[in-house]
Amino acid sequence: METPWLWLIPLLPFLGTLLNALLHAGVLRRRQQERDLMAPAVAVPERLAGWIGTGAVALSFLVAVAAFLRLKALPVDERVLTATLAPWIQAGSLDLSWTLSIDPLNAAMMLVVTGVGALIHLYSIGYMHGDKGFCKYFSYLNLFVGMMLMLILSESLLGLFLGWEGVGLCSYLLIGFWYEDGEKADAARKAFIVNRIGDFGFLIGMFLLYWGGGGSLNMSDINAAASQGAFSEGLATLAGLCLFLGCCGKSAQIPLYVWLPDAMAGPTPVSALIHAATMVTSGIYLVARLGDFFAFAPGVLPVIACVGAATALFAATIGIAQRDIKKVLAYSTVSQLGYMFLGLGVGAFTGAVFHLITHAFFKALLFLGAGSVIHAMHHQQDMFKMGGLRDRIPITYKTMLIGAFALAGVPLFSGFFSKDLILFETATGHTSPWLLWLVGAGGAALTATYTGRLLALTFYGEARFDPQKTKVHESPRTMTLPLMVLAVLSIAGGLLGIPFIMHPLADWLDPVVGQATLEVRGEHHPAHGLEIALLLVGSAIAIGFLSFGLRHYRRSPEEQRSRADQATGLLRWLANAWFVDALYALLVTTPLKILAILSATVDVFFVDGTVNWVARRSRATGNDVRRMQSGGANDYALWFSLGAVVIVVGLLAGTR
Amino acid sequence: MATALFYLFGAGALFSAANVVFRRQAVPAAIWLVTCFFFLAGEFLLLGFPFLAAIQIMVYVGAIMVLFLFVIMLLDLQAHQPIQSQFRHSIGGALALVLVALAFVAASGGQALEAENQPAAPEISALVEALFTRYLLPFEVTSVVLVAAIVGALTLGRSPGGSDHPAKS
Amino acid sequence: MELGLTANDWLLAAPFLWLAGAGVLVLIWDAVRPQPLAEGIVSWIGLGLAAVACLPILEAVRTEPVEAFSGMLSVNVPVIVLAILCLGAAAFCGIVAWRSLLPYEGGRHTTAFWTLLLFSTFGMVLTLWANHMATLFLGVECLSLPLYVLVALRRDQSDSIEAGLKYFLLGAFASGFMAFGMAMVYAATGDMSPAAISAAAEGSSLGVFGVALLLIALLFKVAAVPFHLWVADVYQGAPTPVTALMATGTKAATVAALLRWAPGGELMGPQSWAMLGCLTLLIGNLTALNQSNLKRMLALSGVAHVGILLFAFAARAAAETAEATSQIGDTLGYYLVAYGLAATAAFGALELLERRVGHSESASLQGIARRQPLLAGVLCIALLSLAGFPLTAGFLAKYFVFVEMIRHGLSSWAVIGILLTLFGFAYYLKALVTLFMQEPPEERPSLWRPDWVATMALLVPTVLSVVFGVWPKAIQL
Repeated sequence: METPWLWLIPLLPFLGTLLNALLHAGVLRRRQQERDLMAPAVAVPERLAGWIGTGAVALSFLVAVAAFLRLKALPVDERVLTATLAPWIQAGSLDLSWTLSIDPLNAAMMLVVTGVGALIHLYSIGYMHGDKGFCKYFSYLNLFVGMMLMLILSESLLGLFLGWEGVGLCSYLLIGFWYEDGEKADAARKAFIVNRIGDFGFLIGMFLLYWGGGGSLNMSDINAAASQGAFSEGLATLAGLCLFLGCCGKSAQIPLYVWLPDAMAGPTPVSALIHAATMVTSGIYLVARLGDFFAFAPGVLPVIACVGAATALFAATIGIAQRDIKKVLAYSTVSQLGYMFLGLGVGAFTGAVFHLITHAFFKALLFLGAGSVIHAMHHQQDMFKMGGLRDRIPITYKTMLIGAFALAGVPLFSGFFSKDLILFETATGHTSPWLLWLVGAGGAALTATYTGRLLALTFYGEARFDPQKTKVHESPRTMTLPLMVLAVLSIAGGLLGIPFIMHPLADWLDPVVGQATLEVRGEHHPAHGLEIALLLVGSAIAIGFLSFGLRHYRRSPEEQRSRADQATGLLRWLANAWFVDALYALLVTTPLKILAILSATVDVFFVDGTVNWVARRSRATGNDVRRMQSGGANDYALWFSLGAVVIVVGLLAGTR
Repeated sequence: MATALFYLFGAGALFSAANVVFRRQAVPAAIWLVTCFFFLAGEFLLLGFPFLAAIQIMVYVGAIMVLFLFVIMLLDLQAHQPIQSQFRHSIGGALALVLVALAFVAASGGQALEAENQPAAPEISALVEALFTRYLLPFEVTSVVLVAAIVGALTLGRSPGGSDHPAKS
Repeated sequence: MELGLTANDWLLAAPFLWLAGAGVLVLIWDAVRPQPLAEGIVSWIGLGLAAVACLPILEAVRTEPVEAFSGMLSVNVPVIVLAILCLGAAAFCGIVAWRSLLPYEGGRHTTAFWTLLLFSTFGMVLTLWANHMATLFLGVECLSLPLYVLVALRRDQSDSIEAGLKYFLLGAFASGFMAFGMAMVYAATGDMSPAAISAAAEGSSLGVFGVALLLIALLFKVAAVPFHLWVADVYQGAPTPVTALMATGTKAATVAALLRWAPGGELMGPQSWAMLGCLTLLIGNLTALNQSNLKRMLALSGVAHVGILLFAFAARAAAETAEATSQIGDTLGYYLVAYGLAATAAFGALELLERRVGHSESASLQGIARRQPLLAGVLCIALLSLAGFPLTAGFLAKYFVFVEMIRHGLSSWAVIGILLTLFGFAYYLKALVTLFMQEPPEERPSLWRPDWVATMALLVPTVLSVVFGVWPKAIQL
């Protein structure tokens, strides 16, 4: 159904970007006039920028809700809304249209992005208060939301790619937001470069799909072509793997996950919005959206499942030894994304999307909570220097507790249902089910442990800082309100799918991923006994390991701290993330550097030489030609006559 | 008799035109142009277009030359200051000659000159009729062009600097 | 005697009546009670009404071209869109000139400025719509005569007077070619409609000669190599608002006239057109490369753009069906609109920057983005569109032209054209580096103050450049 006003959804954040950019320009101007380059954004523009930014996303959320209701009112098999702005480029067989389309899958994504996005914008008003780039920050954040919506809502793979690059750009800008700090600028660059590797794969995959399929980049066409078997198997596998490489980059899977922990250099709300709730899940969204295609491409889904499971376990082991509260959450994000890919890989598309949604709620909550803690501790991020914050920042504590329970998978919290759905589907899947389940369950145990550790080190025990020097204070209302809303969502999110009782999300998504699920998993065989058993095992793991982590670290934080300081043996490996960065430096960076030096030499002597020669020659020729331009009208008339004679003679000769 | 006059006027027109080109002072050159226009008017008369001849004198001698004199004034050429000429400018003249020669070749090569258009001298009423019906638009537009030319000439004719327009300040 | 004007006649005459009426009203107003603001408003209203009067014509020609005044005028969709572009450019010229050109010497040129502006625009629209050599000639004269004076309006600057004189002399030279050519075509065919061109081209050498002369005159007006030499001096010497008008309006009107009156493939084949285009593009780029003055650089880059337009003519000469020909006409129209918008924005922004630093030398515009971020931003978008950067109208315009060339079997010329276009990026980027990445020199205190009206007006072509770049169909709305 054609619904033109869908354009408002991405347009509103873009409008916010524009307005905030103008405000930023105004602030810069003021600063220049006052010759005070470091002054914070003045109160009025700051307040205005904050509310414009938040308002734009909130309005976009309202429109998204309206679109959702309109979609819901349609009969199940007609649930697609489209808005075609205009044909964009029509050249030969390439027909690209600016089309937004909303189906049940991206409607869900859209609601998460705008809803969680609006909350995080609101939170940022408090968190970024007094920053000198306040307006710029909101401009970037709005731009991000707009780009993310382009990514989600585009019907064409090219439009999706545009958004994909756009969110990458925003991520880069926001990680390096405090770019005066060299380390943070480096982190931004690392994120950008690692993502380029993935994007390279994405591009190749896209071209393969275009050439190999029906010559269309529309995702519904690709899915249809795949179901009809229009792709050859080898090409489909290759294209699928290339696309998955793109997803690995964006969604931080092995081997391209290395940028995400470093991305924590950005402001904490950015980590919450971009590097936990939305952008990093776009890889999962892409695979789910092209579900029919991936279901057809032989051998791709098992690869995805294995990579996902490996990442889930691997990142969890690292998370257990991190001292920086944001790093713990970052590795936890990598790990949880691994679960989602595991779900996709075994054909549990609904489970993956379910976990995506609940994860967006509770991980955003945890990040914002961590931000609140960091805010309260005056930018201290080392958990060994915290402790005893439970009574000092009660709202943050309580909401984070809920988030932690959801992350650990404590029964009745949202994370419990979504994670156990994935694990159950893994155990009943086709790809070595029990091995993958074991890896997943091991990851879950580690998750519960580091969650408990995080809570224990941050909130319990004695304060390991000087309360006189560090005045701990609860965050302002703009920051706590989003925490509370997200806490409610982290509990209520489970209602989207409670085993045996209700599964509204599965019904909702069925028109989009039902076919693909059927293709991968075959007919549904209810296995109630197994499901109940796995639920019980999952609950036991979550509660057991969470309480282990809580008690272990609560009892002896000092001992743990000295062990962490010395960092010997396994702990050293864990704390340094298995030295993967060093390994990459050795295996990838060093050869590249040597190659770079070599090619630089070639470049200087041959390429530059040639280019410079061309430049010099053209300048010289330019100077010669410029001499025609003597300035004398007589000379101009002379050239005129010369040209006239040539043309007349030419035309007369042509007719003879 | 008419034929002899025709060639005589033709020679006169050519001679005057040559003088326009070769005179080094601007004002005599302009006067020679006037002469040239008179000879051309004579040619029209002999060919049986008396109205065109009259128009030629009124419009060209009366109006166009005014514009030329404006240009000369704008250039501020003193009578005693001869126009400088350089060798490469004569290349331009040579090229123009080549063009004219080509025009002759083209005209003699084409048989169309005789065939297509040999109208009898039109009645003035017919001319007027054409002007007000078929050529109404160009006829009216001409007035716009003329007004534009007048405004332009007035603007350029004013002495630079100072303000002779007291109302605007 | 019966004048016998038809409904179509009145329909097509309306914009001319508004323009000429406004021009005369300004003159009368000045005679009765001189009042600069009122004259400006009358002129803007005249331009606006003329544009509004174009809309019903646009509706009328949706299906097929409309003729009027017994074939003196003939319009189709592209020429009406271009006429609206010219009217917009004229209104814009007035807005930008309001605070700089008009107050000079106590504002005593105000009346002349508005009258000449309106009459010149009159000439542009007439040139666009002319379907008879008499109308074409009058249109071109009516367009040029006021411009000669507008270019020389800054009587206190020798550059301006020199530019006006050069433009006038060479323009008169070209007018001679045009009149002579028309006479020959008429002599050969007895016809003065565009059909006479193809008839003459196929007939005697006299007719061919006439067509060639007419072509030369039009090539001069559009500034194709080697008839382009006046451009740099005239664009640079003219007051910048007038330059903006010439780059947009004159260019659009004369290129459209060239499209209607140039010989087709039977006389001048695609290879010749492409060669001419290539030469124009090459020489335009080469000359623009080393300019130290931004205005002059932009003027010469305009020559390079004519080169690409001539490539479109090459495609037209190669086109075989009427449908393909009309599609190339649309492509040319799109290109002219894209170029006109970008050039208007670029020259307009340059004018406002000039007011602050005194002139348009690159050296004094270094790092101006720090002081004038908005204007520098506008100039940046305009330059990117001129360079043909994706997501701007300039990119799609070039893209469409090259697609047409490839479609009509001129692939190798298209490749040359693309390479030369990339080569042209050099000087646009150089300008951007100057504006954005260099340290601004110390600023001398000046009486400069921001002109917000003109700045806001600048945003219109800038935004449109981007809108048409992402949404080309919008032009036809």
